[in-house]
Amino acid sequence: MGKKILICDDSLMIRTQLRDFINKLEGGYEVIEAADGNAAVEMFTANTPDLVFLDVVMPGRGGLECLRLMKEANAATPVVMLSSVGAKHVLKEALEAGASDFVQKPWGEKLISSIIERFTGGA
Amino acid sequence: MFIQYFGSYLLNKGLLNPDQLKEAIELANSTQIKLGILAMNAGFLTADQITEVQMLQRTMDKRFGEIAVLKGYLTDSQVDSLLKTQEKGHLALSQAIADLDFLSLKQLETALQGYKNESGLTNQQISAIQAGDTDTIVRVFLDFSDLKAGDQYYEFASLMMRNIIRFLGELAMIEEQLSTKGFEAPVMVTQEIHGGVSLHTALAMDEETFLTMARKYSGLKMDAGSELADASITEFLNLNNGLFIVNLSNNGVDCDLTPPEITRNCQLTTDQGFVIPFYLGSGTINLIISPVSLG
Repeated sequence: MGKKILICDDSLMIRTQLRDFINKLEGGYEVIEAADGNAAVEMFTANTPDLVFLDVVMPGRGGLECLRLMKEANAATPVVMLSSVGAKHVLKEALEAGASDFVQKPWGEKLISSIIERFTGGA
Repeated sequence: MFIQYFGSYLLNKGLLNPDQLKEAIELANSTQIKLGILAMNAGFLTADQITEVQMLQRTMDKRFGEIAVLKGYLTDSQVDSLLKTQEKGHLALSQAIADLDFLSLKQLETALQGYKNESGLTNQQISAIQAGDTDTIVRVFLDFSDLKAGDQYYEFASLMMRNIIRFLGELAMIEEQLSTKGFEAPVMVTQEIHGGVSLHTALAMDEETFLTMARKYSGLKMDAGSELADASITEFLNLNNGLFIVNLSNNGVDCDLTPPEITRNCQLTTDQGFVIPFYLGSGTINLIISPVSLG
Protein backbone atom coordinates (compact mmCIF):
# COMPACT_ATOMS: atom_id res chain seq x y z
CA MET A 1 0.00 0.00 0.00
CA GLY A 2 1.22 3.53 -0.81
CA LYS A 3 1.40 6.57 1.40
CA LYS A 4 -1.68 7.49 3.41
CA ILE A 5 -3.51 10.80 2.87
CA LEU A 6 -6.22 12.00 5.25
CA ILE A 7 -8.85 14.38 3.80
CA CYS A 8 -10.82 16.31 6.46
CA ASP A 9 -13.70 18.32 5.02
CA ASP A 10 -17.40 18.44 5.88
CA SER A 11 -18.26 18.84 2.18
CA LEU A 12 -18.88 15.53 0.45
CA MET A 13 -18.28 17.32 -2.84
CA ILE A 14 -14.76 18.38 -1.86
CA ARG A 15 -13.94 14.94 -0.45
CA THR A 16 -15.24 13.23 -3.58
CA GLN A 17 -13.39 15.53 -5.99
CA LEU A 18 -10.14 15.30 -4.04
CA ARG A 19 -10.36 11.53 -3.51
CA ASP A 20 -11.14 10.93 -7.22
CA PHE A 21 -8.16 13.07 -8.19
CA ILE A 22 -5.72 11.44 -5.76
CA ASN A 23 -6.86 7.98 -6.85
CA LYS A 24 -5.93 8.90 -10.42
CA LEU A 25 -2.35 9.77 -9.43
CA GLU A 26 0.36 7.22 -9.99
CA GLY A 27 1.66 5.30 -6.99
CA GLY A 28 -1.54 4.14 -5.33
CA TYR A 29 -2.06 6.51 -2.43
CA GLU A 30 -4.41 5.34 0.28
CA VAL A 31 -7.12 7.95 0.94
CA ILE A 32 -8.98 8.12 4.23
CA GLU A 33 -11.66 10.69 5.01
CA ALA A 34 -13.21 12.56 7.92
CA ALA A 35 -16.40 14.62 7.62
CA ASP A 36 -16.08 16.74 10.75
CA GLY A 37 -13.50 18.04 13.18
CA ASN A 38 -13.93 15.35 15.84
CA ALA A 39 -13.60 12.55 13.31
CA ALA A 40 -10.58 14.30 11.79
CA VAL A 41 -8.62 14.21 15.07
CA GLU A 42 -9.67 10.63 15.80
CA MET A 43 -8.62 9.41 12.35
CA PHE A 44 -5.35 11.29 12.59
CA THR A 45 -4.33 9.59 15.83
CA ALA A 46 -5.62 6.17 14.78
CA ASN A 47 -4.15 6.06 11.28
CA THR A 48 -0.87 8.05 11.34
CA PRO A 49 -1.30 9.53 7.84
CA ASP A 50 1.65 10.78 5.76
CA LEU A 51 -0.21 13.96 4.74
CA VAL A 52 -3.39 15.73 5.84
CA PHE A 53 -5.65 18.08 3.88
CA LEU A 54 -7.69 19.98 6.47
CA ASP A 55 -10.66 22.31 5.96
CA VAL A 56 -10.93 25.41 8.18
CA VAL A 57 -14.71 25.77 8.61
CA MET A 58 -16.20 22.50 9.87
CA PRO A 59 -18.95 21.52 12.30
CA GLY A 60 -17.80 20.44 15.75
CA ARG A 61 -14.12 21.21 16.11
CA GLY A 62 -13.01 23.84 13.59
CA GLY A 63 -9.99 23.20 11.38
CA LEU A 64 -7.61 25.41 13.36
CA GLU A 65 -8.40 23.60 16.61
CA CYS A 66 -7.91 20.26 14.81
CA LEU A 67 -4.58 21.49 13.48
CA ARG A 68 -3.32 22.29 16.98
CA LEU A 69 -4.42 18.88 18.30
CA MET A 70 -2.80 17.11 15.35
CA LYS A 71 0.44 18.99 15.88
CA GLU A 72 0.40 18.05 19.58
CA ALA A 73 -0.08 14.41 18.64
CA ASN A 74 2.52 14.33 15.88
CA ALA A 75 4.26 17.54 14.90
CA ALA A 76 6.11 15.86 12.02
CA THR A 77 3.04 15.06 9.92
CA PRO A 78 2.48 17.77 7.30
CA VAL A 79 -0.98 19.35 7.49
CA VAL A 80 -2.12 21.45 4.54
CA MET A 81 -5.10 23.72 5.12
CA LEU A 82 -7.66 23.61 2.33
CA SER A 83 -10.22 26.35 2.64
CA SER A 84 -12.35 28.94 0.90
CA VAL A 85 -11.41 31.35 3.72
CA GLY A 86 -7.96 32.58 2.74
CA ALA A 87 -8.23 35.75 4.82
CA LYS A 88 -5.02 37.11 6.30
CA HIS A 89 -5.91 36.43 9.94
CA VAL A 90 -6.83 32.81 9.14
CA LEU A 91 -3.62 32.28 7.16
CA LYS A 92 -1.55 33.78 9.97
CA GLU A 93 -3.23 31.66 12.64
CA ALA A 94 -2.86 28.49 10.57
CA LEU A 95 0.82 29.05 9.83
CA GLU A 96 1.53 29.93 13.48
CA ALA A 97 -0.18 26.71 14.55
CA GLY A 98 2.09 24.69 12.29
CA ALA A 99 0.26 24.34 8.96
CA SER A 100 2.65 23.31 6.21
CA ASP A 101 0.79 25.13 3.46
CA PHE A 102 -2.55 26.79 2.68
CA VAL A 103 -4.63 26.09 -0.43
CA GLN A 104 -7.50 28.41 -1.31
CA LYS A 105 -10.55 26.62 -2.74
CA PRO A 106 -11.37 25.84 -5.45
CA TRP A 107 -8.16 23.85 -5.63
CA GLY A 108 -6.25 23.21 -8.85
CA GLU A 109 -5.02 19.73 -9.79
CA LYS A 110 -1.48 20.90 -10.55
CA LEU A 111 -1.14 22.50 -7.12
CA ILE A 112 -2.53 19.48 -5.26
CA SER A 113 -0.27 17.03 -7.08
CA SER A 114 2.79 19.21 -6.41
CA ILE A 115 1.88 19.40 -2.69
CA ILE A 116 1.47 15.63 -2.49
CA GLU A 117 4.80 15.14 -4.25
CA ARG A 118 6.49 17.70 -2.01
CA PHE A 119 5.28 16.32 1.30
CA THR A 120 5.20 12.60 0.63
CA GLY A 121 8.04 12.37 -1.86
CA GLY A 122 5.72 10.37 -4.10
CA ALA A 123 3.93 7.17 -3.20
CA MET B 1 -24.73 40.48 -20.25
CA PHE B 2 -26.76 42.96 -22.27
CA ILE B 3 -28.12 40.03 -24.28
CA GLN B 4 -30.07 38.81 -21.24
CA TYR B 5 -31.66 42.19 -20.54
CA PHE B 6 -32.50 43.11 -24.11
CA GLY B 7 -33.64 39.53 -24.81
CA SER B 8 -36.00 39.64 -21.85
CA TYR B 9 -37.43 42.95 -23.10
CA LEU B 10 -38.06 41.50 -26.57
CA LEU B 11 -39.81 38.53 -24.98
CA ASN B 12 -41.98 40.65 -22.67
CA LYS B 13 -43.01 42.87 -25.57
CA GLY B 14 -44.02 39.86 -27.62
CA LEU B 15 -41.53 40.77 -30.33
CA LEU B 16 -39.94 37.31 -30.07
CA ASN B 17 -41.35 34.04 -28.72
CA PRO B 18 -39.29 31.97 -26.23
CA ASP B 19 -38.08 29.52 -28.89
CA GLN B 20 -36.93 32.35 -31.16
CA LEU B 21 -35.12 34.07 -28.30
CA LYS B 22 -33.41 30.82 -27.28
CA GLU B 23 -32.28 30.20 -30.85
CA ALA B 24 -31.02 33.77 -31.24
CA ILE B 25 -29.13 33.67 -27.92
CA GLU B 26 -27.52 30.34 -28.83
CA LEU B 27 -26.38 31.78 -32.14
CA ALA B 28 -25.19 34.99 -30.48
CA ASN B 29 -23.31 33.13 -27.72
CA SER B 30 -21.55 30.97 -30.28
CA THR B 31 -20.02 34.12 -31.71
CA GLN B 32 -19.05 35.76 -28.39
CA ILE B 33 -15.30 35.70 -27.96
CA LYS B 34 -13.52 35.58 -24.60
CA LEU B 35 -10.79 38.05 -23.71
CA GLY B 36 -8.09 35.36 -23.63
CA ILE B 37 -8.84 34.27 -27.18
CA LEU B 38 -8.90 37.90 -28.34
CA ALA B 39 -5.52 38.43 -26.65
CA MET B 40 -4.05 35.32 -28.25
CA ASN B 41 -5.40 36.37 -31.61
CA ALA B 42 -3.75 39.77 -31.16
CA GLY B 43 -0.45 38.06 -30.28
CA PHE B 44 -0.51 39.45 -26.72
CA LEU B 45 -0.73 36.11 -24.86
CA THR B 46 0.38 32.52 -25.40
CA ALA B 47 -1.94 29.57 -24.75
CA ASP B 48 0.08 28.68 -21.61
CA GLN B 49 -0.28 32.22 -20.27
CA ILE B 50 -4.05 32.10 -20.85
CA THR B 51 -4.30 28.79 -18.97
CA GLU B 52 -2.23 30.20 -16.10
CA VAL B 53 -4.41 33.33 -15.85
CA GLN B 54 -7.59 31.21 -15.98
CA MET B 55 -6.29 29.03 -13.14
CA LEU B 56 -5.44 32.09 -11.04
CA GLN B 57 -8.87 33.53 -11.81
CA ARG B 58 -10.44 30.57 -10.03
CA THR B 59 -8.86 31.55 -6.74
CA MET B 60 -8.73 35.35 -7.03
CA ASP B 61 -11.70 37.68 -7.18
CA LYS B 62 -10.26 39.52 -10.15
CA ARG B 63 -11.08 39.73 -13.82
CA PHE B 64 -9.02 38.00 -16.51
CA GLY B 65 -7.54 41.31 -17.69
CA GLU B 66 -6.62 42.43 -14.17
CA ILE B 67 -4.70 39.22 -13.46
CA ALA B 68 -2.95 39.33 -16.84
CA VAL B 69 -1.77 42.87 -16.01
CA LEU B 70 -0.66 41.80 -12.50
CA LYS B 71 1.39 38.99 -14.06
CA GLY B 72 2.93 41.47 -16.49
CA TYR B 73 1.50 39.64 -19.51
CA LEU B 74 -0.68 42.54 -20.68
CA THR B 75 -0.54 46.29 -20.29
CA ASP B 76 -3.56 48.37 -19.22
CA SER B 77 -3.86 49.83 -22.71
CA GLN B 78 -3.84 46.36 -24.27
CA VAL B 79 -6.67 45.30 -21.94
CA ASP B 80 -8.66 48.44 -22.81
CA SER B 81 -8.24 47.74 -26.49
CA LEU B 82 -9.32 44.09 -26.09
CA LEU B 83 -12.36 45.07 -24.00
CA LYS B 84 -13.48 47.48 -26.67
CA THR B 85 -13.27 44.69 -29.22
CA GLN B 86 -15.15 42.36 -26.90
CA GLU B 87 -17.91 44.90 -26.19
CA LYS B 88 -18.92 44.73 -29.78
CA GLY B 89 -19.91 41.15 -29.00
CA HIS B 90 -23.26 42.37 -27.60
CA LEU B 91 -24.22 43.24 -31.12
CA ALA B 92 -24.22 39.51 -31.76
CA LEU B 93 -27.81 39.20 -30.47
CA SER B 94 -29.10 41.85 -32.84
CA GLN B 95 -27.07 40.25 -35.62
CA ALA B 96 -28.48 36.81 -34.80
CA ILE B 97 -32.07 38.10 -34.69
CA ALA B 98 -31.61 39.77 -38.06
CA ASP B 99 -29.81 36.76 -39.57
CA LEU B 100 -32.61 34.47 -38.44
CA ASP B 101 -35.18 36.89 -39.95
CA PHE B 102 -37.06 37.15 -36.65
CA LEU B 103 -37.13 40.98 -36.85
CA SER B 104 -36.23 43.52 -39.52
CA LEU B 105 -33.44 46.01 -38.86
CA LYS B 106 -36.05 48.76 -38.48
CA GLN B 107 -37.97 46.71 -35.90
CA LEU B 108 -34.71 46.03 -34.05
CA GLU B 109 -33.80 49.70 -33.99
CA THR B 110 -37.23 50.61 -32.60
CA ALA B 111 -37.03 47.83 -30.01
CA LEU B 112 -33.57 48.90 -28.84
CA GLN B 113 -34.70 52.50 -28.49
CA GLY B 114 -37.82 51.35 -26.67
CA TYR B 115 -35.72 49.32 -24.23
CA LYS B 116 -33.49 52.30 -23.54
CA ASN B 117 -36.48 54.59 -22.94
CA GLU B 118 -38.43 52.18 -20.75
CA SER B 119 -35.49 51.01 -18.66
CA GLY B 120 -34.41 54.56 -18.01
CA LEU B 121 -30.81 53.46 -18.43
CA THR B 122 -28.22 55.99 -19.46
CA ASN B 123 -25.84 55.21 -22.32
CA GLN B 124 -23.10 54.86 -19.71
CA GLN B 125 -25.11 52.29 -17.78
CA ILE B 126 -25.91 50.40 -20.95
CA SER B 127 -22.21 50.38 -21.81
CA ALA B 128 -21.46 48.96 -18.35
CA ILE B 129 -24.03 46.20 -18.85
CA GLN B 130 -22.63 45.48 -22.29
CA ALA B 131 -19.14 45.20 -20.82
CA GLY B 132 -20.39 42.84 -18.07
CA ASP B 133 -19.33 45.28 -15.34
CA THR B 134 -21.03 43.58 -12.39
CA ASP B 135 -20.21 46.37 -9.91
CA THR B 136 -22.21 48.81 -12.04
CA ILE B 137 -24.98 46.34 -12.90
CA VAL B 138 -25.85 45.71 -9.24
CA ARG B 139 -26.02 49.45 -8.56
CA VAL B 140 -28.29 49.97 -11.58
CA PHE B 141 -30.82 47.30 -10.63
CA LEU B 142 -30.59 47.11 -6.83
CA ASP B 143 -31.14 49.86 -4.31
CA PHE B 144 -29.50 49.65 -0.89
CA SER B 145 -28.83 53.37 -0.71
CA ASP B 146 -30.80 53.73 2.54
CA LEU B 147 -28.76 51.11 4.34
CA LYS B 148 -25.67 51.83 6.40
CA ALA B 149 -24.14 48.57 5.16
CA GLY B 150 -25.42 49.17 1.62
CA ASP B 151 -21.97 49.06 0.01
CA GLN B 152 -21.37 45.59 1.42
CA TYR B 153 -24.68 44.39 -0.02
CA TYR B 154 -23.74 45.71 -3.48
CA GLU B 155 -20.31 44.10 -3.24
CA PHE B 156 -21.80 40.81 -2.11
CA ALA B 157 -24.32 40.73 -4.98
CA SER B 158 -21.65 41.71 -7.50
CA LEU B 159 -19.34 38.95 -6.27
CA MET B 160 -22.13 36.38 -6.57
CA MET B 161 -22.82 37.50 -10.13
CA ARG B 162 -19.14 37.10 -11.04
CA ASN B 163 -18.98 33.66 -9.41
CA ILE B 164 -22.07 32.47 -11.28
CA ILE B 165 -20.28 33.41 -14.49
CA ARG B 166 -16.95 31.90 -13.40
CA PHE B 167 -18.04 28.69 -11.76
CA LEU B 168 -21.41 27.89 -13.32
CA GLY B 169 -20.53 29.29 -16.74
CA GLU B 170 -23.81 31.20 -16.98
CA LEU B 171 -24.68 34.84 -17.45
CA ALA B 172 -27.22 36.00 -14.89
CA MET B 173 -29.78 38.76 -15.11
CA ILE B 174 -30.92 40.50 -11.95
CA GLU B 175 -33.90 42.69 -11.19
CA GLU B 176 -34.91 44.83 -8.23
CA GLN B 177 -34.55 43.17 -4.82
CA LEU B 178 -37.58 41.88 -2.89
CA SER B 179 -38.28 41.67 0.83
CA THR B 180 -37.59 38.38 2.61
CA LYS B 181 -40.92 38.58 4.47
CA GLY B 182 -43.11 35.67 3.38
CA PHE B 183 -40.52 34.42 0.87
CA GLU B 184 -40.85 30.67 0.31
CA ALA B 185 -38.38 28.26 -1.23
CA PRO B 186 -38.26 24.48 -1.73
CA VAL B 187 -34.59 24.41 -0.75
CA MET B 188 -32.28 26.94 0.89
CA VAL B 189 -28.60 26.92 1.89
CA THR B 190 -27.62 29.39 4.62
CA GLN B 191 -24.32 30.63 6.02
CA GLU B 192 -23.48 33.37 8.49
CA ILE B 193 -20.60 35.78 8.15
CA HIS B 194 -19.56 37.17 11.52
CA GLY B 195 -16.82 39.34 12.99
CA GLY B 196 -16.06 42.78 11.60
CA VAL B 197 -19.11 42.39 9.35
CA SER B 198 -22.27 40.52 10.27
CA LEU B 199 -24.34 39.11 7.41
CA HIS B 200 -26.75 36.21 7.09
CA THR B 201 -26.54 34.84 3.56
CA ALA B 202 -28.48 32.21 1.64
CA LEU B 203 -29.13 30.71 -1.76
CA ALA B 204 -32.69 29.52 -2.39
CA MET B 205 -34.18 27.83 -5.44
CA ASP B 206 -36.36 24.99 -6.69
CA GLU B 207 -35.08 21.41 -6.62
CA GLU B 208 -34.55 21.18 -10.38
CA THR B 209 -32.36 24.30 -10.49
CA PHE B 210 -30.59 23.05 -7.36
CA LEU B 211 -29.59 19.78 -9.06
CA THR B 212 -28.58 21.48 -12.33
CA MET B 213 -26.44 23.98 -10.48
CA ALA B 214 -24.89 21.27 -8.26
CA ARG B 215 -23.87 19.22 -11.29
CA LYS B 216 -22.45 22.25 -13.08
CA TYR B 217 -20.44 23.44 -10.10
CA SER B 218 -19.00 20.09 -9.02
CA GLY B 219 -18.62 18.43 -12.41
CA LEU B 220 -19.73 15.21 -10.65
CA LYS B 221 -22.58 12.83 -11.43
CA MET B 222 -25.33 12.86 -8.80
CA ASP B 223 -29.01 12.19 -8.20
CA ALA B 224 -31.72 14.61 -7.12
CA GLY B 225 -31.91 14.92 -3.35
CA SER B 226 -28.53 13.27 -2.84
CA GLU B 227 -26.04 14.30 -0.17
CA LEU B 228 -23.58 15.12 -2.95
CA ALA B 229 -26.02 17.63 -4.50
CA ASP B 230 -26.53 19.27 -1.11
CA ALA B 231 -22.76 19.37 -0.53
CA SER B 232 -22.13 20.98 -3.92
CA ILE B 233 -24.48 23.92 -3.37
CA THR B 234 -23.36 24.47 0.21
CA GLU B 235 -19.78 24.49 -1.06
CA PHE B 236 -20.68 27.05 -3.75
CA LEU B 237 -22.08 29.45 -1.13
CA ASN B 238 -19.08 28.71 1.10
CA LEU B 239 -16.72 29.54 -1.77
CA ASN B 240 -18.51 32.81 -2.52
CA ASN B 241 -18.50 33.83 1.13
CA GLY B 242 -14.86 32.82 1.49
CA LEU B 243 -13.90 35.13 -1.36
CA PHE B 244 -16.03 37.91 0.17
CA ILE B 245 -14.14 37.49 3.44
CA VAL B 246 -10.78 37.58 1.65
CA ASN B 247 -11.80 40.89 0.03
CA LEU B 248 -12.83 42.25 3.45
CA SER B 249 -9.58 41.02 4.96
CA ASN B 250 -7.61 42.85 2.26
CA ASN B 251 -9.40 46.01 3.47
CA GLY B 252 -8.47 45.36 7.10
CA VAL B 253 -11.79 43.78 8.20
CA ASP B 254 -11.51 40.29 9.73
CA CYS B 255 -14.50 37.94 9.55
CA ASP B 256 -15.25 34.24 9.92
CA LEU B 257 -17.88 31.86 8.59
CA THR B 258 -20.19 29.36 10.25
CA PRO B 259 -20.54 25.97 8.54
CA PRO B 260 -23.27 26.21 5.85
CA GLU B 261 -26.64 24.57 6.55
CA ILE B 262 -29.39 23.33 4.30
CA THR B 263 -33.14 23.46 4.88
CA ARG B 264 -36.11 22.41 2.74
CA ASN B 265 -39.58 23.88 2.31
CA CYS B 266 -38.75 27.05 4.18
CA GLN B 267 -40.63 30.28 4.64
CA LEU B 268 -38.90 33.44 5.83
CA THR B 269 -40.54 35.74 8.34
CA THR B 270 -38.08 38.59 8.75
CA ASP B 271 -38.74 41.81 6.86
CA GLN B 272 -35.18 43.05 7.33
CA GLY B 273 -33.56 40.95 4.62
CA PHE B 274 -33.53 41.07 0.83
CA VAL B 275 -34.06 38.52 -1.93
CA ILE B 276 -32.17 39.13 -5.15
CA PRO B 277 -33.32 36.87 -7.99
CA PHE B 278 -30.60 35.86 -10.45
CA TYR B 279 -32.23 34.66 -13.66
CA LEU B 280 -30.08 32.05 -15.40
CA GLY B 281 -30.78 30.03 -18.51
CA SER B 282 -31.16 26.96 -16.32
CA GLY B 283 -33.40 28.47 -13.63
CA THR B 284 -33.61 31.15 -10.96
CA ILE B 285 -31.20 31.37 -8.05
CA ASN B 286 -32.35 33.65 -5.23
CA LEU B 287 -29.54 35.28 -3.30
CA ILE B 288 -30.63 36.31 0.19
CA ILE B 289 -28.84 38.85 2.36
CA SER B 290 -30.02 39.81 5.80
CA PRO B 291 -28.64 41.58 8.88
CA VAL B 292 -30.64 39.18 11.08
CA SER B 293 -30.97 35.40 11.24
CA LEU B 294 -33.02 33.71 8.54
CA GLY B 295 -33.92 30.77 10.77
